[in-house]
Amino acid sequence: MAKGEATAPQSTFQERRNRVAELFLDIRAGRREGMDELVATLTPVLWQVARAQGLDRASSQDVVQMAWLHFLKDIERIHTPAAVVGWLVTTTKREAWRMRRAELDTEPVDGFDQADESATPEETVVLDDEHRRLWAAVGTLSRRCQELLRVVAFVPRPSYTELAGQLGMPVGGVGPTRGRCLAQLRATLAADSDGGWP
Amino acid sequence: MSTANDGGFPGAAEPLDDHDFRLLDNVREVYETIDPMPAGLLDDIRFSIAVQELNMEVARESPGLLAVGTRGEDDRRLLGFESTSATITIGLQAGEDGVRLDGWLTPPGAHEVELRSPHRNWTTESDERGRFVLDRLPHMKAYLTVHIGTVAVTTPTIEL
Repeated sequence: MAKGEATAPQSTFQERRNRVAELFLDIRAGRREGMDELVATLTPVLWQVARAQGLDRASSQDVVQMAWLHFLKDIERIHTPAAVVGWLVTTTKREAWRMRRAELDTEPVDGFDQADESATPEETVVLDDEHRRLWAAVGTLSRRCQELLRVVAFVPRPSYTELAGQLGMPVGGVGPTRGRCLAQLRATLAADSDGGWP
Repeated sequence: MSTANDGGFPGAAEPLDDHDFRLLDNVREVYETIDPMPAGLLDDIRFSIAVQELNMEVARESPGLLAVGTRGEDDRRLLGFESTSATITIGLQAGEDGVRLDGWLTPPGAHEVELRSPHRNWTTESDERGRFVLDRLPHMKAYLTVHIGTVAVTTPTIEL
């Protein structure tokens, strides 16, 4: 493992989640100054959610914007801070599906991402060995697993328990479990003869 | 390896450990590299929120002016926007001191005009004919808001 900081995010994620709860309660109470920070904290997750639904980058931007507008309009309906991330993820997905249906109605598309302008790592992006091996392993998973892991990777960790169902990581005796997708990814990497993964 | 067993995959029911977290960190890093969130997305969201919060009208760009715009010199652009309460025409000219913005509002009259960017705002007022000028502006993305009576009308983001 090259990344020395890899285990540190536990605590920062914890702080961030508490911050999300704080910001949410402020905003719901009418103190809207916290909106900027909440948007900056959670938009990266929502971006991945939209992209994982197969929308192009322009449509994904629209969808994420809409999710935030819904959030402000419907904030009274979100009863607990623990529900904030899940609510935003679900709303983004719903908007993404709606957008995709509208796009499919207007143009024949034979698959996800075909007209997407974003780079593929094979072509233009320099990944180090470790990341390239991981990317290859991710590529062997089912589309559903790829989508799940993509989103899980951006969700603040303390929210795993609240979002367990949505993330495919059912809660076991001591918290969220690995789930099939992550277990499969580990198995794939372990089978990689180059090693590099414990 | 893509067989879709239902939850019974070896290790699937085990709790997450450090190795899983490292893997997920790496997955995040890969996606941040290959599909980064657009740089302007946060500003666009803040803009949409401001529009919604302030109950503003968003003026749409009027395509009719594009032909006029392309007729000018390279460093001049003419943009038009219209909403139910106002039309806003903007001439942009880049010079050595920065960008000069000439504006014309309909309905004419003294209206408060704001140019907002993420980092700084400029304010002026239109004259009785609805004209206004903002000068020595940096090249940036910004949007223009005019207050016509109790209604605020705003343009989408403009590239100065």
